[in-house]
Amino acid sequence: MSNEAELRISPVGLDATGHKVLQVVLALLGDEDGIRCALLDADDASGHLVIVDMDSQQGRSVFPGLSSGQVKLLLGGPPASGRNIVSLAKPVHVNALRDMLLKICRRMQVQLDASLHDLKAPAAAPMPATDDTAPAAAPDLLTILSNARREGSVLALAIDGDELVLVNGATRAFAALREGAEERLFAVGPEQLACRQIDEADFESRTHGRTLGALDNLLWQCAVHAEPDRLPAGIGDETPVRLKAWPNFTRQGFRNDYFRIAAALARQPASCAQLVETTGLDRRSVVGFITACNAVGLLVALPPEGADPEKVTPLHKAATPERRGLLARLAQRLGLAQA
Amino acid sequence: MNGMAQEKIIFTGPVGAGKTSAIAAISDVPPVRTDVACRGEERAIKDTTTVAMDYSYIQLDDGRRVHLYGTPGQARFDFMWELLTRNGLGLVLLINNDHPEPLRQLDFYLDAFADFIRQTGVVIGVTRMGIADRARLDDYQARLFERGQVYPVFEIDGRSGDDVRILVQALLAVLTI
Amino acid sequence: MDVIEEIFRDQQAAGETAVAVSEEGSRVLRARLEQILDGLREDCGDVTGAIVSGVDGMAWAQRLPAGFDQNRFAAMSSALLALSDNLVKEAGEGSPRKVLIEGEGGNVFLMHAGDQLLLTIFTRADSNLGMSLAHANHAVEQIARLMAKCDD
Repeated sequence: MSNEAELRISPVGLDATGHKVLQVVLALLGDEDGIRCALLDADDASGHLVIVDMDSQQGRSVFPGLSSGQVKLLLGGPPASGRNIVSLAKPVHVNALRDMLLKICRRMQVQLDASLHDLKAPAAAPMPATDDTAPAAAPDLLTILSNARREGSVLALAIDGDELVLVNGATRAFAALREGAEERLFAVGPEQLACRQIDEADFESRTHGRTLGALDNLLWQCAVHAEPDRLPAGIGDETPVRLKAWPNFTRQGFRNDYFRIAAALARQPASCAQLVETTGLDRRSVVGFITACNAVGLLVALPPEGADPEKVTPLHKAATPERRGLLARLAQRLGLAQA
Repeated sequence: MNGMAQEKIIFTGPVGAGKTSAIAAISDVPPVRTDVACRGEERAIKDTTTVAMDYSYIQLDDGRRVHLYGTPGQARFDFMWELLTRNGLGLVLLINNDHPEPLRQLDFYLDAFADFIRQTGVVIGVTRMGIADRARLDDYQARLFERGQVYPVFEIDGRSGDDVRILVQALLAVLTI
Repeated sequence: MDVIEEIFRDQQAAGETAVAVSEEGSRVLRARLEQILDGLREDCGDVTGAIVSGVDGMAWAQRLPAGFDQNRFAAMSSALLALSDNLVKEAGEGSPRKVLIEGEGGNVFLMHAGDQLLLTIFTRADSNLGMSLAHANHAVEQIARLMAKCDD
């Protein structure tokens, strides 16, 4: 990942065994989890993460002087708590230390990489407002909804003066005023679509007693329905993208092709072109998936080196060919489509 | 086919998440169960609980079987988790949203099965959503994001064969990509 | 027997209906179960340890050697006995009586003791199996009788 900084670790007061365990764990983190850390000298307590043996004289004397910004992992000693402090009981085993460091590194990486808030923040790249050849054309539904989500605006959407759907970008909710209203919106072209700003009180009173849906659901369905043949602005065919979270597929939105693309992206960031290759699906599916994920803020576009497999953390190993055969039969047996 | 080459999918999760029902919903024969009467606090959640395993299978058209195992939910049975996951294909983790701290349960089971998940793959099904909305699917996504893990997560009714098939479908996508 | 009367007295005093639910009742019950386990060890020198657990894998009373984790042994016993029950029933062999495990360094017996409980006993490798089993059966009867009284 582009801004992934190397994590520096200070070992303080560790005995020979402690050092050995730590070195094994760091090797495992590097080889199997793809997390590279730099181990500082024993007397250098300046690391991002300081591992302190609280049963040692050195550990106890250094600990109070550490900065509150440093993450402290305490081994042994009495249970301690506080900001940026975690402790691990002795004896410290490789697996326990590895799991703990994995969690800490991920958390720290998350801090560097993107905040939790960012997960729910709007997509980085705005939707293409218009087609290049028709600069004056009206914005399409996907653009209107994406803008409402990003700007937090409240809108009424109508066809031929008949208001069908109310959208609240601030609360990320929408309400259909008629049965099948969403489908009617999806079906018409931008020129037939009208939208006007309404105020929140208006939205409240007109949706009172109606079922509110999640705006992201509407956006997702809209993006899927639009079957775009062009990627969103800011994402090229070769731009690696990272999936922040597995999309919230609604019941009507379960699609095996999307499962496969999501599974590929969950494994490692990839570009549209790479996804077409690894999944064997047609480009239209991949573009649709990227558009939908981008619309609901689940994608991060990375600089080209972001897709370097060396730099990502594979979450699990690939199945053997024999297992693939068995899994394909299982899918068939359960009546599941397998492309 | 000997016992070593057994292909199996493991269903796990806390007490009351619907593991036994989920297996029953997609298997060819009614599951073998080892459920006994609950006592104490667990009694408030359900009447009976699995103490060793649930077991059933799906027969494939080439005669092979994919075995389905359900683990006991309580941590005191963690020795069964280790036994049952050995050589497994993948994990279906069911989380009961009608629990005071469902996200803590998510953390607990993902940590407990971390090694197995690293070797294979996992799909998460959130059951009993809507009964109490302590956490929404967004919250599960956010927690997984915090953990640095992009795992499939779905809201499901564990008694519905269609819903459980969706979980298996996503698990297969993860395992075969 | 007087212990049971004590339980009933406590119960009536507290106006309660279920024995095991009352904390005092559980304490007394556990003490009585421990007495039964102590009696078993006195009567049969080959027994090195014993534990009474619920069918749901919770430990109720134990006389285990130092270093044995009662919670794990309770959970493993209930899992093993539940599986064995299934095996015997599926094979059409009726209701299960007991599970005997011969280890290199010792034996383990698992037995139901009434509907709710089970008894796990550890004996020496060179012990007289028949004798140990007879004593184990006696302990199971005592536990079952105790529980039947509690359920009344």
